[in-house]
Parts: sequence; structure tokens; C-alpha cells
Amino acid sequence: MNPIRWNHVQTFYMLAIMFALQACAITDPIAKAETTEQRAFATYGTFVIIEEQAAKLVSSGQLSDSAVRAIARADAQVKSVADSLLNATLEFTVIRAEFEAGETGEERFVRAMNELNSWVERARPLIANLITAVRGAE
Amino acid sequence: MGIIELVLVAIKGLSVVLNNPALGGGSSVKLQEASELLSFLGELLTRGDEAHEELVAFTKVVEEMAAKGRQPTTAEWNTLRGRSDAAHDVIQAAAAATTEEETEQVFLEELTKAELLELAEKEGVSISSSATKAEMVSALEANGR
Repeated sequence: MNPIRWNHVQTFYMLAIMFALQACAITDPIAKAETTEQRAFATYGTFVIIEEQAAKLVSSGQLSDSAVRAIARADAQVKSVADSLLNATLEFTVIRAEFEAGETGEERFVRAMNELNSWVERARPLIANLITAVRGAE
Repeated sequence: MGIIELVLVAIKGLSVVLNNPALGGGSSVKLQEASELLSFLGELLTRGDEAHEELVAFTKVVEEMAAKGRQPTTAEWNTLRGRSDAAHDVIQAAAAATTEEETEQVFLEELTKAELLELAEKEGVSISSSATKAEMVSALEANGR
């Protein structure tokens, strides 16, 4: 491909991506988060919004029994991890305060932060499973 | 597009952002995903659905949190946990109800015609003795069993 034309294509896509990310940020709590705790909070809060919508759906009486059970299974899985994420965040908050006060070492602080990030990553595919269950039920 | 699907689309967008290293993700944004993102953004932004409004409101909460440089408080976490617990209970109760209904249906189908007639009489359900077993089960279920 002509290098100049390829550059134009690249530029177009880069602008498109930048626009997409900027526009998405209007309804994207995670994009607004700047710290590990804020990111965990945004992830958990987004999960709660999905879960509440799922609850409304199963309460509507319009779903088959199998669809309700599929949503319930997916919810049970993600709920467990999401609550672990929440607990890891609360624990991290304590460790961060101790670290900032010089009461604990950097190694413990980093380990707690890594663990919190790992819970965020574990929650993501499970939230996707819940999404699939809800989508399949509609 | 329904409320649920709208939220799902929004979450799909979140996953794209999460994959952006600049935002703390692990890999670069894929062009195809970004293109898909663009295709639904217009619709997403013009919808006034409850879920969309909720996402917008929650995004503002996180945005203000970041702007002030503060971390989520224990009270804020507890509020979210309470909402999640309530929704979780509703979902699991709905699932449990379906299980109970199935269990009861199996129970009815395991009864003999004579037993079903006896049960119908006890519950005041009118069933002909010449009805099939399936018809008897249906009549009992229709009675609110």
C-alpha cells in the first residue's frame, strides 16, 4: 500500500478511536477512574447496574424457567467474584492507609494492589457471562 | 433495542476501553472493536432509557471522585453491596421458584390417576374420572398448585 495513503488510513482510524473513546466515556465509569480503587468501584458499580436490570427482567414474568435459571447461575458466579473484589478493595484501602502512614512496607502494598487488580480481571469474563445469559433470555 | 441490550452494549464498550493500555488495560484497542463502538454510540447517546441514565449518573459519580482525587468511601461500597444483594436475592428467588414448580410437576406426574382424583377432590377441583392423567395434572396446576 502507498505509504502516504496508509498514513491517511491510520490517521482516520486513530481519530475514529479517539472519538469513540471520548464519546464512550460519557457512559463509561471505568474510563473515568484514575486509581485502582476507583477502577474497582466503577467495575463493581457497573456490575450492579447489570444485575439490577437482570432482576427486573426475571421479575417481569416474561422469561422461560430455563432462561431465569441461566441468569441466576451466571449471576451467582459473578456475584461471588464481585463480592471478593469488593472485599479486596476494602482490605486494600486499609493497607494503603498504613503504607501512607509508614506503617507497612511497599511490598505488601504492591501485593494488595496486584490482588485487587486480579479480582477486577476475574470479574470481567464473569460479567460477560451474565451479559450472555441476559441477552439469551431476551 | 431494549434496556438490557442497551446496558450490554455499553458494557461491551467498557471492555474495549479496559483493553486500552492508556487506561490501564492490557492490550491495544482493536480497530474492529472501535468501529463497532462507533456504530452504537449514536444510538446509545440519544437513548433516554433508565439503564442509560443510570450509567450516565454513575459515570458522573466516578468522574467527580477522580476530579476530587478521593477514593470510594465505605458507605458508598456498602450502598452498592446492598443494591447488589437485593438484586441477587430477587434473581435467586425467581430461579428457586422455577425449581419448586418443576419439582411439584414431577410430583404430580408421579401420582396415579386414582391419587390425582383424590387430590382433586380434596382441593375442590372438578375432574372427570375419564380424563387422561395429563389432563388431571393440568387441571390441578391450573388450580394454582
